[in-house]
Amino acid sequence: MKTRRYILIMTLMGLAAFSKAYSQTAKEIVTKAEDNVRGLSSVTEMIIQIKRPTWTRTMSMKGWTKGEEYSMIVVTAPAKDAGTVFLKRVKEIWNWLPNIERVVKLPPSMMSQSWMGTDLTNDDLVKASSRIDDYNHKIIGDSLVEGRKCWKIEMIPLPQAAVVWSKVNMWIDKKDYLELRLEFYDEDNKLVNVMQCSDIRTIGGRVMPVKLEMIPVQKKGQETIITYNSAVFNQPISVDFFTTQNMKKVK
Amino acid sequence: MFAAFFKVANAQNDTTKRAAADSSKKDHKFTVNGYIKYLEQASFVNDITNLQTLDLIHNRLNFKYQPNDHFTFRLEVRNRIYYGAEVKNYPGFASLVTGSGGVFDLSKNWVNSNSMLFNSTADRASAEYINGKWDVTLGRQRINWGISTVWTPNDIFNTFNYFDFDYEERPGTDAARVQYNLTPSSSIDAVFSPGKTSAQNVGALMYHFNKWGYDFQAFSGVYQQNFTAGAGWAGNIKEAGFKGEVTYFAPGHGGADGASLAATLSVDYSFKNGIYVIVSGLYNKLGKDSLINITQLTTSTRSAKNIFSFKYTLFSEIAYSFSPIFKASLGGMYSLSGNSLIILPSVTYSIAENWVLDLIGQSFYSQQDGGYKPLGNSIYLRLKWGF
Repeated sequence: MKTRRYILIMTLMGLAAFSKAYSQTAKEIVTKAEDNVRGLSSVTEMIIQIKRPTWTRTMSMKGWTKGEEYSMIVVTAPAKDAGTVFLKRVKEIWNWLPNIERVVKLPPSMMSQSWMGTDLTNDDLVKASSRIDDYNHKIIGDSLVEGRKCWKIEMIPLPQAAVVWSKVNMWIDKKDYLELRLEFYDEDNKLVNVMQCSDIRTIGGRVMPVKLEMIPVQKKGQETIITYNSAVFNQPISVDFFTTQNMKKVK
Repeated sequence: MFAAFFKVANAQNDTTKRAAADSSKKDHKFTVNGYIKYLEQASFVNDITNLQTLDLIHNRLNFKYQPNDHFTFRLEVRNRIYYGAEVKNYPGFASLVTGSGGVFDLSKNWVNSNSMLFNSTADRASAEYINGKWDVTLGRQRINWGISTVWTPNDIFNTFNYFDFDYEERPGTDAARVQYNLTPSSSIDAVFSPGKTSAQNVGALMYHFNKWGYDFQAFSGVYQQNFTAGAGWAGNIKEAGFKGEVTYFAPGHGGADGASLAATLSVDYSFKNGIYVIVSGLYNKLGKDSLINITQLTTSTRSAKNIFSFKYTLFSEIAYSFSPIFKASLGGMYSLSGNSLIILPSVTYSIAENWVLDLIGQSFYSQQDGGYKPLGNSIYLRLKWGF
C-alpha cells in the first residue's frame, strides 16, 4: 500500500516534472529555431514565383542581411525591374530606382504591406521575433514532414499580443531545428495560410529547405513559392554595407 | 517588408559558423538593356469626336561597360518616331520634344517632315570612377538632388516635368560631379555643369547626412548668374513619410527676373489594405498662374528657377493595387492661385512577364465665369516591352 502510494506520487511528480520540462522544451525548441534568425548575416539568391489561377509572375533577386536590423535586396529579373534596390536600416527604408538613378525614402507604413504582391504578409515575416515572446508554446505531437521527424508545436498568442492569428501550428525538425511547416488560423479558428518548406539540401554549408511555399488555403490556385539558388551564411558583412551610398553599387 | 522576408530565409538555418563558398557572381562587363514602347495619344477639348492624335514609337537602349570595380561607362539613347496630326499641327513640334540639349549636341533628327519626326538623343553618356569614398562622374548624367516625387525644387541641375510621364529616366545634364562619402551616413557632392555660354553655368556644393531617422541635405552655389541655396529632408511622422524641399535664387548684377523661391512639402502613407495616399503642396514665387499652353506644360522641361506654372498648387493622389499585376491611381492637381484643376487617372496592367499596358488620362480645367471649363483632355494608351 505504502509502496503503491509512493509509486503514484512519484508518477504524478514525474508527470508534473515531465510536463513542465515538455512545455519548457516547446518554447526552447521554437527559440532555437528562431534564434537561427538573429545575429547572423546572409547573402542569398532566390527566385520568387507568384501564382494565381490565371497567371504566374517570376522575380529573381539577391539579398544581404545582417541580423534583423539590416537588409538590402536587389531585383535581378524581370528585365523591367532589374536593378531596383531596397534597403532597410533599423526602421528606415529606401528604394533605389536605377532608371532615374535616385534614392527615394519610403514611409514606414509601407513595411506593413504584402511583400511585392506576394502571399507573404507582414505578420508572417516582420514579426517573426514575436513567435517566442507573444505565444504560449506546447508540444502537441510528433509527425513526419519531408521524411523528417518533427515536433508539432501549438502556439497560442498571449491575450495582449498584437497577433492576427488565433493559433499557429509549427513543425520543427528534431535534428537540425528547421521550421518545416506552419499553419496559421484566423479568429474563427479556420486554417488560412500554410507555409510548407521542402527540398532540404546543403546550401552555403548549411542544411536548409530551399523551397518555401506560402499557400492561402481558401484561395484556390494561389500561392507564392520562394526557391533559393545560392546562399552564404555568417560571413562578416559590415554595417556600412547597408547604406544609401552603397545602393547603386550592389549587384 | 523585405527585411522580413529574410527572416523566413534565415529561420531555416542553424547557428553553426559554417560560412561557405562564394555565391556565383555574374558580373557582366558589358550589358545592354532597354525597352520598346508604343504610345498612342488622343487629345480633345470639348468635343470627343474631334480628336487630335499623336503616335510615338519609343525605343531606349542602355549600354553599360564595367571593365573593373572602379570604372563604369554608360551610353543611353532614346530613339523616338512621332507621327500623327499633332506633329503637323503644332508649330515647332520638333524643337519642343527634342529639347534644348546641353553643351554637346547629342541629338539628331533623322527625319523631320510635315508628318513625321524621327529623333535620336543620347541623354546619358558618362564615365564614372568609384574608389573607396570617392565617386567621380564626367559627362552627360542625371543629377538628382530632388527628394520629393511631384515637385523637386532642389533639382537645380535637372528639372523634370511631372506630366511627361513617358520620360521615366528624365533628362540628363552635361556635368562634372565629385561625391565624397565623409561617413557611411554623410557625404559631400560637388557639381559643375557648364552652359552653352558662361552665363548659363551652374555649380553647387551639397552636404547630405542622415540623423534622427531623417535624410537631410543643404546646398549652395551659382545657378545661371544667380546665387542659390536650398535644403531638403525626407523622414517620417509616425508611420507617414514626410518630405520637404526649399530653394532660393537671388539674381546677381544684370538679373532681370528677380529673386525666386520654391518650396514643397509632402506627406505619404500606405494603409494596411494597400491603399497608398500622397498629399503635396508647392509654393513657386515666379509662377505665372495662367494655364495657356497645355502642350508646353506637358512636354517641355522647365527651368529650376521657375519650376511650375502656378504660384500655389496642391496635389493629391490615391493609388491601389488590385492585384500584383493590376494597379490604378487617381491624382488631382489644384492651383489655388491659378484657378486651375488637373485630373490625372491611370491604370497599369502587366500583361506578361516583361510587358506592361498603361491607360493614362490628363484633363485640364480652368475656372472661367464662375465655372470650370475644359482646356484640354488627353488619353494615352501605352504598351511597353522591356528587355
